[in-house]
Amino acid sequence: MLSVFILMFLLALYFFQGLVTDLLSPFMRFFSEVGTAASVALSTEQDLFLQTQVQALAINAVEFDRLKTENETLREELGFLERTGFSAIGASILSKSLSQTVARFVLDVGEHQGVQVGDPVVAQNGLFVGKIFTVERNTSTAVALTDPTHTTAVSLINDRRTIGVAYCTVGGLLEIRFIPTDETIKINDLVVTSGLEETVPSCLLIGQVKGVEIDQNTLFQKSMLEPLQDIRHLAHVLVLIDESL
Amino acid sequence: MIRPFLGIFFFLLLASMEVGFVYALPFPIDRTPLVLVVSVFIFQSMDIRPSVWWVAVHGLVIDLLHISFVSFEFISYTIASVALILCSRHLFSNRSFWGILGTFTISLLTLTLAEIFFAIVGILEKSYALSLHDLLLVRAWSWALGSIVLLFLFPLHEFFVRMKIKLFAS
Repeated sequence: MLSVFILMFLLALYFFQGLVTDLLSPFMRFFSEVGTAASVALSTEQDLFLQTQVQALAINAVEFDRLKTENETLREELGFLERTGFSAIGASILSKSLSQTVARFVLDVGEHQGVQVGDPVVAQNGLFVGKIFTVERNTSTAVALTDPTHTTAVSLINDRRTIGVAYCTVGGLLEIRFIPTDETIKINDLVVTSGLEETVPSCLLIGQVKGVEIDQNTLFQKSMLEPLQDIRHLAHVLVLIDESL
Repeated sequence: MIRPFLGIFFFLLLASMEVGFVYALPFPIDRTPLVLVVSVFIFQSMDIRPSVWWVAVHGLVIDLLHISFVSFEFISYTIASVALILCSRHLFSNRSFWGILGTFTISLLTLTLAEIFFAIVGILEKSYALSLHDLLLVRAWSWALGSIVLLFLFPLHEFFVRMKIKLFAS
């Protein structure tokens, strides 16, 4: 009798997927915020200070480069959101699953709020952190940059604006492969989204180059890049919505 | 009548604590399998049978939230819950810490094997790279942290049982 009841309960849960997330959302939001606060508290003050400084400098550098380019080529166009037709929806992180095998997080916005699969997710300071992977009625799941099952189209802020695809590797680092050896890549070069993905606009800051490796046997080199935003320290993010769709 | 609702409430609380709070903590603490370890403890030590369903339903919750690296976590967790029942009924004692640790270890091992199977299926289908070393490292941490949780749960339960006996004796 109990087994039949539980089986019916499971079937009901499966067919009313939104119900589960709606039921869990209030609990998860509370626990996630407490967990994030604990995670920040466990980081040393110096780490947090340096991380904030690096982020601020990197944001300034990218912003400067973007403004320069805009001034040179697109002087008449307006700011980032207006130019791309994107607007932002604020979202709270309900759950994070971050390890070597998976890097995803659940947001409290979904189909009803206008979120769609592929929408970019940025931190409140504009750093790119991931893309929407699945959408439910009132929640959605995003894959972070460091998820092994996903890739991101990126571009380096260097003389030739090298483009490539970033893959996740060990230790939360990303790797840009198959870069021709005639491209000059320097340590600490900034990396942004290339805009080659349909729903992700260009110039969203991702991270910094931390290493370059030239393969002597081929005509390619690869560079390691470190994302500037640690998702563990985030409780709120912005989902960029393309209103033109 | 109130017991099933209490069970559902306790499960919701426990699952939210794992996917909300524990997952937000720094690695490796975030890999603590709270629902699995508490379910094993409650099922084996306190003989509360419905707790075995929490394991399967937790797999379903993970599937619905899409926060796992493999699909069909519901099936993996259901297989783990079957291993849990078999171990606690036929293999290990429900009186000793080592018995409960044994059940937890085999349940987690079964879960990992099922996940590896589904990961291989996923890799064949979507062709992405997944390191077996990383997966085993994550599960090794899960085992270690789950054992630490058991180290706290077991004496705590023993203490309350003794207190209850003392109260009734006096």
